[in-house]
Amino acid sequence: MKTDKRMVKKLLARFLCRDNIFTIVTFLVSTVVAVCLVNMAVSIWRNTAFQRDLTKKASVYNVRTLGAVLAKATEALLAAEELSLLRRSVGQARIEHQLECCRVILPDGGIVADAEPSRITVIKLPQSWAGNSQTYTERVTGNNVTCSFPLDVPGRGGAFLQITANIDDQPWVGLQSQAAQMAIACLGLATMWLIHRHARFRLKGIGAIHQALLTAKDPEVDVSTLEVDPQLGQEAVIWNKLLGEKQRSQIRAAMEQIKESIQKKSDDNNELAAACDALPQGLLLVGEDMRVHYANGAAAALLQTNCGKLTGADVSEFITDQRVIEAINRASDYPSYARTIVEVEPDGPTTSSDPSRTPSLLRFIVRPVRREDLGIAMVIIEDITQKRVAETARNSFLGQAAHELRTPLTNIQLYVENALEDCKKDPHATARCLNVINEESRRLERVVSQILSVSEIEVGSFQLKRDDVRLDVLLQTLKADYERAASDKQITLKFNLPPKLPVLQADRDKISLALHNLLGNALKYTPKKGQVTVNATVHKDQVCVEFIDTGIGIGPDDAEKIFDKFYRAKDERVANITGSGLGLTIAREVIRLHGGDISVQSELNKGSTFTLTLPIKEEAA
Amino acid sequence: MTIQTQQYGAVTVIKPDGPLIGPDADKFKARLLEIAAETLGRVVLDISAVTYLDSRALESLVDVTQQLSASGCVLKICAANETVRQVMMLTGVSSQFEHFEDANSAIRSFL
Repeated sequence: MKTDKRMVKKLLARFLCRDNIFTIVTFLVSTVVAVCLVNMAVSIWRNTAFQRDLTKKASVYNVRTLGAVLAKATEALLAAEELSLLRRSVGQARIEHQLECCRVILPDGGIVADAEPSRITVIKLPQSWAGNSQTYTERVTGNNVTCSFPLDVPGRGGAFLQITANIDDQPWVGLQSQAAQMAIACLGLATMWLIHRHARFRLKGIGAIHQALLTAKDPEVDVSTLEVDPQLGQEAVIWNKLLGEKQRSQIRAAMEQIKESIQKKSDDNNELAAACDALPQGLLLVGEDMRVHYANGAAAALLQTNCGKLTGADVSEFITDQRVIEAINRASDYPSYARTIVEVEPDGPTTSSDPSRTPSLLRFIVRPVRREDLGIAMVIIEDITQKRVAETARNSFLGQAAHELRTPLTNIQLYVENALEDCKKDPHATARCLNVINEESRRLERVVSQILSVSEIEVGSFQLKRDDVRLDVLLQTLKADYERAASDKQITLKFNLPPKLPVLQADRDKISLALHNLLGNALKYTPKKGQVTVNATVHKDQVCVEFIDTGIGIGPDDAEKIFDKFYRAKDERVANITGSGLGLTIAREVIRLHGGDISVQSELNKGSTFTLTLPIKEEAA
Repeated sequence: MTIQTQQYGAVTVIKPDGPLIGPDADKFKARLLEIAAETLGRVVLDISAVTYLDSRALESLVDVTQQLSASGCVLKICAANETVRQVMMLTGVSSQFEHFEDANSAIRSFL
């Protein structure tokens, strides 16, 4: 049902299209004009016929009236036998009333009076005559009406007056007014036609605009299709101008929208590029043609170039490692989710000019980017040099730590077995074994303590437990602890202590640990028959402890580095002595936490002086 | 002003000594950029021995960190004294750097 209505509407709309509507209007106007004209013609014809009929009837009526009057007069004149007067009256009546015939006839047919005197047959009226008066008759023949009026002449007899008058219709009588009306109507119609003809042209333009307005109901209509023929008039020109304005404004709006869209996309791209540039990892996108489609700032920096040179260039110009190139090729040709990781030590331009500097190590992670049929490889470049150094140092430290732990443990195990074997036979040997076990246990404790200290330093939880610390007691204990080791190594160990040393507010264990590390190192790196001197002095608000040895000394390159974690001088003699490379680091960290410092002065092959200073009134951080 | 450099593993610690002012700032900037390029940005600036710095030096430091930021890095500054720290805070450039208490912490940040 709805479909039918829609079809009807569509057909109606098509029928009432701009071109048809004027044909219809013209047709309707023409039809109305034709109907009016026909109506007027019929009306005129009908009026004319009516008029003619009415004229005829009026003529007959006039003749009848005239006859009646004349009959009365004739009767009187006949009665008085005034024939001449009668004949004159008849003649006058004919002339005055334009009668065809007017005569008085006796029943025998004798004509007493006639408008035409030659037709009179009775010159003298007889005394009487046969025959009675007849009845009134009226006969119409053609355009004439003949009326016979009966006459009664007292004492003589009857007669009749016969009048014949012309009642010829006058077809144009009364037609003038109709014709005038018709003419006015025709004139009006002609005027209307002229107006219509004039207005039609202008109406065409308005109709076209109307049609365009109806079409414009559809919001998706193209404005350019709404234009009308400019020859249809000024309205059409103005309409087209308005449409042009609208079209231009629509174009401007569309342009603005496009601009905004482009700007937004550009902003998005810029944001994305800025985000990628903020990445510490290098990022490359390499196409099937092995050309770099995108490179972030970190990638350019890690490949020792700039983004401008990198983008669009062949990737093999900047990455020479064949494993990486092959991985990129594979990722471009056979897209999959698998990734390839290659660690490369760059050569060429990435090598540092400083030989002491650790060579860089880059990790290339290559994986394909799945994007329809495009074979794009994503290469992530990561600088893992420091990680690798740290890893190596950690492994080295673990190895050293394990060694440091294993050595006293082995000694303890060995001397425990000896003590068990000799305990009943030789009590002195057992005592010696127990002494060694005791020393090794303390050494083990120190190593473990150092490892824990380093761990605490690393995580930042290295804290002090302050208390009154008598430095002279600490130094005396230190002397007692190392006298045996010094004598075993035939090293002269001297302690030059003032009579009185101040009491410090410090962490006893940590200070003790630092002193042990410094003296232990002095003894460790001083060859046999050498000398180690410990001097303690007080200067105003600080106490100074010097550890002077006549050992192997430290080269100027190593002088500052020896305080670094895990660092061990590259001297072969140092390599042969076990050590974790943590002692000095921990010692300086501990002393710095107390507000003091440790410095070193050394000369290779002559000896070193480590100077420890501590504030008497604690000002530590 | 002297500039000491020291390797800590793969990280280079640059330690200027003395006030960082005037033409020294330009020389220092050039040296800093050179080392940063050689070490792929693994640089720590230890300014514990910088007693004070002027606007030219600040500008140089900002330039360096901006150049480093183009490759996803930031200039790491450690052991700044109170004067230097306040100068950076007051001039509003402090947020452009990564600050560390000491060189070790700064070096650890590369892990």
